[in-house]
Formats: sequence, C-alpha cells, structure tokens
Amino acid sequence: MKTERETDRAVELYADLVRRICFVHLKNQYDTEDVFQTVFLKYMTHMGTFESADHEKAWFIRVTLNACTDWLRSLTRHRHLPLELLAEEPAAVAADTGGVLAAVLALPEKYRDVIYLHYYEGYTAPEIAALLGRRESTVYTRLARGRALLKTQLGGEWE
Amino acid sequence: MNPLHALNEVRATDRAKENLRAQLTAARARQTHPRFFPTRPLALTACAAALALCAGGVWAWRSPTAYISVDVNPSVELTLNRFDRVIDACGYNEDGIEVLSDLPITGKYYTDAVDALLSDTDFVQYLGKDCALTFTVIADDIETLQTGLQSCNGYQKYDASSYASTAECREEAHHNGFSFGKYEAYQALCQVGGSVSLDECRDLTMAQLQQEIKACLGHGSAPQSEFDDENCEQPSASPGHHGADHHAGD
Repeated sequence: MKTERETDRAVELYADLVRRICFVHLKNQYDTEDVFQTVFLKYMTHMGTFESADHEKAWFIRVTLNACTDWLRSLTRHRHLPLELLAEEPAAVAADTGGVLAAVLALPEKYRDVIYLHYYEGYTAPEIAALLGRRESTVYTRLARGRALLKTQLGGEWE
Repeated sequence: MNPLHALNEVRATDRAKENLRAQLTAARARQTHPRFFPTRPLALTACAAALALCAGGVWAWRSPTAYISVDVNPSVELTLNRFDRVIDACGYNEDGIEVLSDLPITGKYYTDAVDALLSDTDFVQYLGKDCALTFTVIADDIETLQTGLQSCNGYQKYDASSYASTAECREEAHHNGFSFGKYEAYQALCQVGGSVSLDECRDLTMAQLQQEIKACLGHGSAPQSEFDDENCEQPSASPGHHGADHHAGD
C-alpha cells in the first residue's frame, strides 16, 4: 500500500487530470466525485511500481477511463460527496466555454476520449493506442471521424 | 491555442482534494487496522449455537430411547425416539416384513403407528378370534408407554397383552433372529420346561406359544403334539431375565 506521502503527492499531481477525464467522459459533473475517489483508492492500494512520471500519468489516465466506463455500467450510484462541495464545482464550465467544449462533450464516447487525449493532453495516436489498448489505425480513424463531426458542428470555429 | 482550453477550468478544488485525502486516510486506517465488528463474534456464536441446536435436534430425533415389539404371528418391532415417535419399523419374520412393506409408520407418534398397524388390512387378517396380540416394551418409563398402548383402538378390541423386556434380551433375540417380544415368550416357555426348539418356535404363533406355556404349567394341553421330546434349546447367548408367569398368567 502506498504511504500517505505518496498519495498526497499523487493527489497534487493528478487530481486535476482525473477530474478532467471524469468530466469529459461522464459529462455530469456531480457523478465525477465517485470515480475521482475510486481512482485514488486504486492508486493507494496499487502494488506495482512506475518506471517514470509518464508511465504513472498513463496509469492514471487508463484507470480513470476504466473507472468511468465501470461507473456508467453500474446501475447503482453510491454518492459520498458532501453537499457543500457541490457548490464549488465549476458548474457552468460547459455552458461558458462556447461551442467547442460543448461539441466535444456531445461526441460519442469513443471519439470523445481520443479527441481529449490528443488535443488536450497532447498524446500522439500511437501513444493513445497504447493507452487505450487499441490498434493505431483505430485511433487514427476515431480521431479523423471525431474531427469531422466537430467540423460539421462548429465549422471554422474548430482548429 | 488549444481548442479544448476551456477544460483548464475543470480542476479539483482544494476542498475536493481535502475530502479525497480524508477518504484515503480513512481507507488506509481501515486496511491497516481492520475495524472490530462486535456483531461478528455474536453472529459466529449464534451460528455455532444454531448448528449445535440442529445437530442436537438431529441426534435427539435419531437416538432410540424405547422399543415396542408387536407380535401375533407377524412380529414387528418399533423403535421410538425421546419424542415417542417411530424412527424405525422392522419385521422379524416373513409376515412382519410383508405387513410393513406397505405401511409407512415411520415418523408417527407411537400410538398412531400402532393404530395404523392394527387397522392395516394385511395385519388384521392375523387378528382372529384366538389370536394372542402381545406388546412387549423396553423403555425407561415402561408404565407410561404401556398406558399409551392400552389406549390404542385395537388393544381392547383384540384383548391384547403387554409385557416388559430388557435391552439384553432384545440383543439376544436379534442374535437369534427373533423379535424380542416373541423371544420373551420363548424364554418363558423354556423356564416352565417347554420342549420347543428355536427353529420350531419360529413357526409358532404367539397364541400357540402361550398355549404351550399353559400346558407346561398344567393349565391346559399343548396342541402341538408333533413337538419332539428334546428339552428347550439353549439360545446361543445367555438368557436375560423374564418370568414365565408373565406370559402364562394372562
């Protein structure tokens, strides 16, 4: 089990990343809290070691995406979020950021993830393929189709 | 500019991080020092007690505490548990086996079982005018069991008799292939000087055995004139105690 120091460091480093993936993947901001906690609990009990910071970051991305998928599949929602925390959520993020983010959030899940990882996190297609456990060609296809959908919706506003 | 720059606004707030750290600390404490659930030992104790009760109940149900031998010509033995329920019914001659083959009496209260037996079509055919329906009982409280038997419908109707026996006699009887009720009668005959072998005894009805006893006591004549003159055959084990007057005196 990871020490308190290790988990504190991970919270500082990856809390924003996990929160963003949750937000992009789940859309419902209130649902992100459960996955947020699940990911860090998994990290705390993770027995393996990370070869590098990139390896660790990739682990967080992969675990968060899986946790989001699991969460969406689960029918029972257990919320442990104190009510006062909800008030601090960036509730109007999607509404305030114009059409781009809203359009990305409206994409089908398989396009949304690769668009986010490529455009926001800066991963290349081969890296995304390794992260998601997909073939590179699949990632390229999804990126192209995601981009096409965004262009259709946003026109010149995209890129 | 990153087209998704708006996501920069999505951050974990300080309070969210604090809350997360608190959750992790609590989880760590749970894993390091597993919470003591006072209900767990209680539940285990309750389970153990329930299991012990079940095992005790099964043991109590299956443990024989009394035996009733019902003899006319058919010889059957009923084994009773401490609740006076029949836990086993066994025929000790061909007729007895046949009667029981179609008569499910296991699990019944002993008086109900005897009522069922005495009203069974197969059994009734042996209960003629000159029959000698005998009940022989082995129990700690023989009187209570005999009183119960006397309350059975067929007891008075067929002018039945009841006797007491012992576990030793039962064991000896089984060793020789008899019900202990019939074996008691045989022993009684031997004691008054009867000259019937064990093999010959197998073919005699209880009525015939009682007539032999009466004849030996000088109260009548033996109808079985074809019996040989040999003395009563000694059983293969030592005889238990039993009184000839018991069987002859009724």
